[in-house]
Amino acid sequence: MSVPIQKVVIVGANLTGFCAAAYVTSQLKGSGLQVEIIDDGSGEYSPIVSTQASVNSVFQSMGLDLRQLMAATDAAFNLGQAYEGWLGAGSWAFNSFTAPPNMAGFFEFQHFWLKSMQSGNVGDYHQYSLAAMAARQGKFAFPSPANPNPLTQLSFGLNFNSAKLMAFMRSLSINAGVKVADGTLQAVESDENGTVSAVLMSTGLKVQGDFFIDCSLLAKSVLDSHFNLSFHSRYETSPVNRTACIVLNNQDEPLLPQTSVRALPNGWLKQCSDQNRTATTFVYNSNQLTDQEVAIGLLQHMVNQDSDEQPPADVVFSELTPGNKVASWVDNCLFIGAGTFQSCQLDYCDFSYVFKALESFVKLFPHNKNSYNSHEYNRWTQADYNQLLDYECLAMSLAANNETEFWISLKKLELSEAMQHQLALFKSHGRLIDQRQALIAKHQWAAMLISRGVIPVRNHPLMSVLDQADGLPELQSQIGSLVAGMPSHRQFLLRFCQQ
Amino acid sequence: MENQLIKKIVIVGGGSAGWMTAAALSRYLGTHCEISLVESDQIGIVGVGEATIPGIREFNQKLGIDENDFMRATHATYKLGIEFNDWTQLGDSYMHPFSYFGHDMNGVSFHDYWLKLNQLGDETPISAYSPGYVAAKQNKFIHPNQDPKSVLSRYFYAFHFDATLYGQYLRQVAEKAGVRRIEGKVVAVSLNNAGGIKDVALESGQVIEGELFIDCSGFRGVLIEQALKTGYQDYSRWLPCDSAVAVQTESVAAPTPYTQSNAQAAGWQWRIPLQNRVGNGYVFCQQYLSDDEAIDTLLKHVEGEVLTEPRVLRFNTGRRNQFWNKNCVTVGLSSGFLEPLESTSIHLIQTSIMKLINLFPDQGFNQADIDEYNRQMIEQFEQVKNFLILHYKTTQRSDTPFWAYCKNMEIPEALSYRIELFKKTGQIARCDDEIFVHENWLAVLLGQKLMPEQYHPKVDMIDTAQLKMIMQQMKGVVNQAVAGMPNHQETINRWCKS
Repeated sequence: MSVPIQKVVIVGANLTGFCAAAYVTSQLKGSGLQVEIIDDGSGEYSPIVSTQASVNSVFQSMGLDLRQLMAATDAAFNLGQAYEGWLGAGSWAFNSFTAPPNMAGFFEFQHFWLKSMQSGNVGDYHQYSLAAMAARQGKFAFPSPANPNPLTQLSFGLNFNSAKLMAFMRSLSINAGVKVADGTLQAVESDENGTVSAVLMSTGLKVQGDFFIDCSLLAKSVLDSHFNLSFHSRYETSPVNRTACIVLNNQDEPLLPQTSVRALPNGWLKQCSDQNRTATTFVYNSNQLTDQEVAIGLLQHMVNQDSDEQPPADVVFSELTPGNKVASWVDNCLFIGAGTFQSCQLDYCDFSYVFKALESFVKLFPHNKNSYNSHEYNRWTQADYNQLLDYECLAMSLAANNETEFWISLKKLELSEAMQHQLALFKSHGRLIDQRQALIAKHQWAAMLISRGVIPVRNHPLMSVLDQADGLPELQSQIGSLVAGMPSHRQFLLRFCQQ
Repeated sequence: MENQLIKKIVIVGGGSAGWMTAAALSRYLGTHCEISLVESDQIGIVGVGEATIPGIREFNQKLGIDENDFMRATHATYKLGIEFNDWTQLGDSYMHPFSYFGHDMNGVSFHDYWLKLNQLGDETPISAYSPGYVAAKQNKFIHPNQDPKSVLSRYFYAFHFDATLYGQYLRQVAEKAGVRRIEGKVVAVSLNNAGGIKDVALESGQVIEGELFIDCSGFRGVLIEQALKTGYQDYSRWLPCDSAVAVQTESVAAPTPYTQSNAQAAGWQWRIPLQNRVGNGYVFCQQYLSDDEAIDTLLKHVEGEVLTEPRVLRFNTGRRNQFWNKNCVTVGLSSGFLEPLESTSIHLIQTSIMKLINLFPDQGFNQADIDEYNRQMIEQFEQVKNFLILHYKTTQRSDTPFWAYCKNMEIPEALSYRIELFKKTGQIARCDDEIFVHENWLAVLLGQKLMPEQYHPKVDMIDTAQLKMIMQQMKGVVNQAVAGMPNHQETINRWCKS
């Protein structure tokens, strides 16, 4: 006899925990499901989190109004990721959420670009992307209803103030009847089959549940220990293992609708801005640099090189272990968030996967304490995590320079068979593996590879017999005038959020 | 040299595979490449794949073929699905329609809602919510529309046609585009230094050189197997049928807009209605049935005057180890055989061709492209294989040794997982399948009477009385839309009467 799920207990009163509570209650409104959230004393997220464009549909399904969500969380738009300095000082490239325009149905955009390049008459790849050009100039706009040019349909993610996003999700949760228990988690209780039945709090309180969602950020959470669940590190010795983050006000600077990654000699610098603040994170290997060196370097970088001024903010260091738990749903317990999956922080959209995981979970909502759905859920998420780590590994191995120990070690990274195949396929004729359920779209693979200087040796052979004009010069000039007519991102946000 | 465009393509074998390849390649290559097709009038074509699935329309569109013109030329009829009779148990019937069932609600698949009502005792079959099914069973057809709000946008269609005439039709298209047909039988194949094909010699003594060879020579695989020894994966332990007997009969009634597949003692019988005649055949397993018995059964179960002598075919279900080996790509029966239970023969041909165009080589023949092509094609065959096995494995019949074997046979793990997941949770496992997706699996899983133990918990968020009302409305919308459709024959008469 199966027991229907009546009560879900979320472990981790943090950003992930409240997102889970708000999402699950929104999707199961009216089902009588009770949700209780408990603190396990694990830390907090980075000050700014980013989501990719595909997460917008999750917000929509929660019934959230974009304007309200953004106003309440100081959120800024994010058109994609800028790569700075990956092909030498001053170089710039962009990986957009927006797919390039459809040229001649069958052939992908990069083939048209390659064709023009071979005839020697073409600009950088990103010059044909409205998203890239708008991001670079700090501009943003929605398509005008009067002029529904398909080019202006930009896909965007969001950059949130984490604390405000948590407060927002917290109040959604509370309004939906989610209870927040006092005290912190001490231990779990299980029945004779090992299925978790309750958690015990520091206050002596016992919180019973049918299903548990572990959003803990601890390296080994209480539930991990219960299930003896191990974390699988992607690398024997990870090429990056530490981050240093600093947050500064950005009101005096142009606000770019993007995240960015800049290649530096001993690591990379990520930047991401909400409406008021910019988080700058340096990702590096602690065997090569001391925290002190990093702090000094980071601060100097932020306050414009050799200023003697007092640093305006604190540097926060965190450990980084790329990899994932070997299962993400065991018995009646789901594991999500940074404790479950960590990337190398090359891509800035880690937080998206929290929502993706929640979406999959509700799609596969358990019927009982031992739902067979866990098999399917684990199959999905393990494949997704693998693909994301694979993608990053390939991106890192196409190193920015040959000189420092850091980049030399990245160059030596061993690629999975699938990535070796993808690289060979793209190098020869600019082709991409067909993956239907991919988290990373084909055009994003192309943009990443081109940004790393992987330019195919030859083009698709049938491009040479296609006598259709590529239309690239027209596209470029159209993009130019569209960008010129767009308001600045800041102006747009001001108007949008105050309406 | 390496990056030079292929200048000479030689297609060995005509038939639908050969001429579909010739038409498509000439469409994309124009006159930049010399394309020859070698075929012999003395070698007959197998031409079993007379029923298709909706992807054929995309292929025809890419070739710039006018649908009505092509239908007239091939005596084609419209096809809304495949009806399976006696598969689960004697007397059972269901259809795999090319259609959605109802509408998903609150992010939950329609079938979960249907399951709830079914568990509450509502005996309405899920097909009542499928516009494709309802139209098919009333012998109605109209082209679907593009308005996503209309229920008439929620089904798709394919064709039944004369595969020999389709080949001839595409021959005209190809020859007009510059493909050169060479009459003759290939008697020798010589290899180049790289171990690929250098040329083929004909009975007449003519030698034809090429840079890229397409093997459309049918079961024999003159290039891919006889010359290149590519090797074969045998699927017969899961799909034991190895023979078919086919006859054509005169039409005795207006054509139905669907294919029929009727299970028999040691296999199944197809019925494919064209405008002017009906194609019939019995796919069977020699181990359980003799040719004579098969012919007897077939002739007993056809209507109308028999127009042709019963013709027996043998096949070895399976696929080549590689579909692209060196400078040779195999298309059609030379690449493998999967019984036409789900009308996939022509579809696999078209998939092979479009994937070749997508990964088209230059003279350097890059191994990564070849690997990718093989990876994708192997996946295609494996996916169709599993979908076909599903029909056999989930039978409840054990009235004949053949069905008892099928019911008890071991099946590939990916398929048993899929069945298990559906039974326990009602979920269709997520996959990268291209050909058969969620709705297709659903139709066959439910059709084969696999009832999930549970529906999605979110279903209960809609009040039962309200749910019944919504479902009643959905059914009403389908019935009303179908009531307004013309008959299948009327639509044929209006657009494409031969």
